[in-house]
Amino acid sequence: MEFSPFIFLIAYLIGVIILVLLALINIYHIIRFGFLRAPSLVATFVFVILIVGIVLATLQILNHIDWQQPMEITIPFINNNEGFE
Amino acid sequence: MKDLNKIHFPGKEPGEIIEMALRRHGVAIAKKISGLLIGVILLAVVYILLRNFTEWLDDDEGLFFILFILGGSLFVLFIILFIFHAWVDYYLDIWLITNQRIVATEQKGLFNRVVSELRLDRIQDVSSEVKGFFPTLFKYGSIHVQTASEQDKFWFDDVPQPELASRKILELHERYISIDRIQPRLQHDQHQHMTSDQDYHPPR
Repeated sequence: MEFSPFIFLIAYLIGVIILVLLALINIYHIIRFGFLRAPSLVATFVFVILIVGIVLATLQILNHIDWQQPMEITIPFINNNEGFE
Repeated sequence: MKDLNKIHFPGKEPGEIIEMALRRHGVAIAKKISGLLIGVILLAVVYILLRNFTEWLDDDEGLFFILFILGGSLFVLFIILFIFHAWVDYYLDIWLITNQRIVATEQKGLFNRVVSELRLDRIQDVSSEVKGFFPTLFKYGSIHVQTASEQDKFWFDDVPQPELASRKILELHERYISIDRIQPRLQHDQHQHMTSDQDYHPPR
C-alpha cells in the first residue's frame, strides 16, 4: 500500500497549532492575572524558546525527507519477516 | 518577596499596604513537574532501546523513523506545555495579606479563577498545620483561618513556614482591630473638645 508521508507532516502541524493555541491561553492568563515580573517573564521566555527550538529541531531532522514521494508501508514481522535479525 | 507594594491587584484600596504575599511552596509544583518529566525520560529510554536493539530507526527515510520523530516531538512539546501550565497554575495562586484584609486568589485550571476576600477584623482564629514527611522536611503546610463570615474557614495549602505566616496574620489582625477601636475614640475626643456635653459611646 502506497501513500504520501505528507499527511503525517500535516497531522504534526495541526498538533503544533493546537499546542500554540493552548500556550497562548496560558500566556494570556499570565499577562491578565499574573504579575509581569522577572519570574513570569523568564518562565514564559524559556517556554517559548523550548517550543520553537523543538519544532525547528524536528523539521531540521526531517529536512531531507521528500514529503511528496509515495511510501510503501512495511510493518516489521508481518510484511517482510524482518525484525530483530 | 521584594517590593510587595509594586504589586497591583484589583480592588486595592487607598492606603492599603501589602504586608505579606504567600505562594505555594516549590515542592508542590516540583511533584507535578517530576511526574511529567518521567514521560520524557521514558521516551528517551524507548529511543535508546530501539536504536540499539532493532533496525527500525536505521533507515532515516523510512516510515517508522518519520513517525517516531514526529510523534516523539509532539509528545515532548505537550509535556513542556503541561509543565508550563502547571507553573502558571502555581504562580497565579497567591495570598495577599495587607494591613486591612486577606485577598486569596486561586486559579483552578483555565478560565476558572476564584478570588476570596476577608477583612482582618472578621478573623476569629488562625491555625497552621505541617503534616507529612516532605512538609516536615521542607517546612511547608496549611494555614486555616476561622472567620466570622458566611465562609467560616479560609485555608491555603502548601504554604512555606505556615507558623510564621499565621503569627503574622494574627499580629496584623490585632493591629487592625486596635486601630479600629482607637480611631473612633480619637474622633470622638476631637469632637467632644468642640461640644463638651456629649457622652462617649464605644463602637459595638
